[in-house]
Amino acid sequence: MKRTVKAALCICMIALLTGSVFAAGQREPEAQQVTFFHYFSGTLAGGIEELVTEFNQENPEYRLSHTPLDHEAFKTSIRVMLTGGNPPDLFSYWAGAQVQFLVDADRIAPIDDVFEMYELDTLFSDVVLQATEYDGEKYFLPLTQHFAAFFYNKEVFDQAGVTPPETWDEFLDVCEQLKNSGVTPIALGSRERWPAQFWLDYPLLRTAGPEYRAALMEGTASYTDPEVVRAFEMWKELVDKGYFVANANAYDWAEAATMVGTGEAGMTLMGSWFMQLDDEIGWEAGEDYDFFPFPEVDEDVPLAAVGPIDGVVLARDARMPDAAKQVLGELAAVGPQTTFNIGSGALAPNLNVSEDIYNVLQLKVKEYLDDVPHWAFNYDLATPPPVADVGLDAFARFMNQPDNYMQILADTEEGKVRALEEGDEL
Amino acid sequence: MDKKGVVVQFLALPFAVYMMVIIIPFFQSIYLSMTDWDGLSHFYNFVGLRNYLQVFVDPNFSKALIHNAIWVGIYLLFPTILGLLLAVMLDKNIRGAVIFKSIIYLPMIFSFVIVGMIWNFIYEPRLGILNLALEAAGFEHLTQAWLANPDTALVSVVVAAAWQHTGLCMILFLAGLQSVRTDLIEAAEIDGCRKRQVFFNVVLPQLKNTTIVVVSLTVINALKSFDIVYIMTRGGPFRSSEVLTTLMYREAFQNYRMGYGSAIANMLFLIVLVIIVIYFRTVMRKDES
Amino acid sequence: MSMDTNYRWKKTAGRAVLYLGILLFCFLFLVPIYGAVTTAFRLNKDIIQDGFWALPIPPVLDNFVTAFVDGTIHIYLLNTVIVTVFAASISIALGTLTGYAFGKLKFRLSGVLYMLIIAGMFFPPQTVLIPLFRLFNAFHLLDTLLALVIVHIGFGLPICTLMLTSFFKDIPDELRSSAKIDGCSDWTILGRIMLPLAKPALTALMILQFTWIWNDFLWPLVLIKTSTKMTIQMGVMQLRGQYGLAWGSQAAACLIATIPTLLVFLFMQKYFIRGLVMGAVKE
Repeated sequence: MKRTVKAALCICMIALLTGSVFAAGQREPEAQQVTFFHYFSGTLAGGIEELVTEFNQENPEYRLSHTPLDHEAFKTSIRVMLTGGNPPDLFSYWAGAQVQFLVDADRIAPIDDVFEMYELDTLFSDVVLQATEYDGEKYFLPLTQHFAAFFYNKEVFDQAGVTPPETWDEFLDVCEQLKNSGVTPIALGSRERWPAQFWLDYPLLRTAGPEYRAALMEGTASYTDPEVVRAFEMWKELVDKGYFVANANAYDWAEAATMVGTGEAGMTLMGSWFMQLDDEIGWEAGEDYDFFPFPEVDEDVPLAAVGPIDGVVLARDARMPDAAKQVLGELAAVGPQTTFNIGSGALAPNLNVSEDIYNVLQLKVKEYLDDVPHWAFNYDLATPPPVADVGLDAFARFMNQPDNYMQILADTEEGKVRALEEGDEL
Repeated sequence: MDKKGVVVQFLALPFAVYMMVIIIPFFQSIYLSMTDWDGLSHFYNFVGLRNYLQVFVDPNFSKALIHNAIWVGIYLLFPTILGLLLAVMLDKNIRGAVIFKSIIYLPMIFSFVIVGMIWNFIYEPRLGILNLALEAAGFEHLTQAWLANPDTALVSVVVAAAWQHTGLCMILFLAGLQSVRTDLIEAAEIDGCRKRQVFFNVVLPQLKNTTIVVVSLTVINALKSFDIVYIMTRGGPFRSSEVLTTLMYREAFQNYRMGYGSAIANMLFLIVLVIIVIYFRTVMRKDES
Repeated sequence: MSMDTNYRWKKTAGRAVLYLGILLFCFLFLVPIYGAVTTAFRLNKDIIQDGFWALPIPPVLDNFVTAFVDGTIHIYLLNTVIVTVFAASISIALGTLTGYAFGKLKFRLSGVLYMLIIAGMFFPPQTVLIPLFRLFNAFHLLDTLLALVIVHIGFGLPICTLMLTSFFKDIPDELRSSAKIDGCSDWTILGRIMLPLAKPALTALMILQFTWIWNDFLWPLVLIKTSTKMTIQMGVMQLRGQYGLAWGSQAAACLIATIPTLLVFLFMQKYFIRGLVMGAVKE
């Protein structure tokens, strides 16, 4: 009996083997298949799903196949595939230091020809165009532009009798009044570390200015500089006064957002993807919640806006580079850019996208960004990844032991130096 | 001694597969560990044992190692003994044994995604059931941000993992108990031995090989755990629940130090190898005596 | 007379304690499971508003509908079944070969080779992600279910060897020696005598392997590119949502993903019946 079972298994195995080998060979369907890996999953699935369907309908000679993954899974998968020599043709990525890393490692291909062919230079703002260029060549096709600001619960603010502050002192007042009204002023969910980064980014930008911050991100300035210390002390002041939710490290950003949603907290400093949680929290942008930009601290320092720009890059080892380039060109068009950004909370990089798709707050964001003089990527996209790891740890540590901030800064500087050294040796 | 031909017949196919899937890639990873590859670039340099030397002086490595040691300790104490007890209790034909066994084993079946989600629900500082229960029982001072507090993060994760591991131990012991000779048990009981004596002197010795399997798997799993730590804390807050596997992942896949990450993984391998070899030797020696 | 009553009391008391102990454990174990199950039957919105432990009244099936309709969960399920059944069966089959060789045959390199195979369990699979990716790439096996099957056979072999070697060692040598005297080959001994005795171990292994392979997430993530070849854990991850607030959807997807392994467990655990094995050994 066992032997028959074993024999059957062997036959099955052989069949499977031969079958799969044959299947592996027959991979050329009529339409050219372009593979697209990305991390726009779950809530945004609607947007990308439609984008892909529409694209396939309008371009029958290609078949765009997409695979959504969550951020961490995506990072692992793409890393392995890139180095293994069999990557997807296109994949999503974050503009800034991350793309730079890919460029330095020679894993993605320049797409200047796509920009020329589709005349993309005219479609994007200067800020966005800057995000597409690395070492003088274009590598990145932008899909969304998010912006980090304070999102606040209007009812909570009304009940505490406060209005959105414009200066740092006003901000401190607002926090105090919120606290007195029985609400936690600021929600922060730093379990994944990155949400805390804005609390270094903005204070630093508002006091030391964008140029200094750029130097810090590059590694030429030190974490123990007085500018950085001052930014941390601003942050610390808020912590010491009890304005932050307790145990910030226990929650992730969405849970913190929920606290604002349920009225336990007044506001949270977060990117505009905050607006994607509307359905889950059950509230409406503009009606129940609004945003205000990080307040001005020093009126001599020019304002800067912080946010990530997400987009698509082309793998160097892509199997279908020509087809993929076509896809990229099409992705820049008004149609896909629109579909993708409906409900995303972000701005579509393509300036021709109609403003009708934006909700009240997105319009407000657009207005603000049109005026603001500077743009900066958030911390973990502005500084090389190994250094970002050290920094993000530091922010988490700070939330845990704020009094220890001088030591934390010293350790961060040390960690950064070591990380950069190891990088240089390559 | 058996004829070589027979041995080859049995081992050829398994080893062929094993060689291709495990051994060769493993040696490749050893080679990688002796380079400074960042995991992305086309080029890298051979650096010999430099990564390994660095491992020895890396405070993150020793920290993670200690965490793993704690994990092994907890694992050897609780889920194993619990698994044994449960197996013994459920081995009888009592009513509902199937349901009980299923309940204990169910955690093993859940993937780490749902295990992580559930235990996040349990450990959540304001809405989690652990803190709610503590408050209700009057132990409010014991409530914590279990996963956010660097002092409790590691153990919290281990408890969640042990919740799963108990089922594994139980299953293994159940399988082992099937080979235990009931006639010997009956004989001992007739002779007037009490339950405890019967257990320790008749049942347990016959479970020896099963125990070896359980202990080995327990140690290995305690050292190799990744998914559950990753999904619950990512090794945080700031490395307070970091174990060797999350450290390796971090270095290799996040910090662009694939060569170094591979070295960490190989050190982990060595540690496990040494422990298991010593364990087997000790157990075999007892056999002979 | 009183001795008997005493004894009977003790036995009932013993039984009661036993039951109580089991119930207590099960209750503690159940709390997290309760959380998992109820979350699946609540809307994402409600979970956020009312907390995690509220009762699902009324229970809602939206999440399950979403999983089946929006996701391609049936395809994922099929793929996972194919990979798991083949990989589990074959790895166990190969494990019986190695188990017998190390457990019963005597040869020089036995210890070393045994350790070599077991050592496959000693390192985290991430270590060989890239080497294996390259290997399968070279053989044009990327993006195939076959690659997954092969990987799982390779990684399953150590545990199967460990368990089956230990189990075969437990079986008395006399069985083998007497069969040898009767002129049986080792293959016959394995097939006709040893394997039937190994039912508990094989059962346990089947359950374990099925569970592990079914729940594996890493290899499909890295080796599969096309959506239609993905496995169930990938489906779960996708429903997780970019921002992880979709508790209900996630829980529902996870439960769907769990059902097959639970069924396997329920089906197989009846082989843990005492007496099935003992009879044969006594002879």
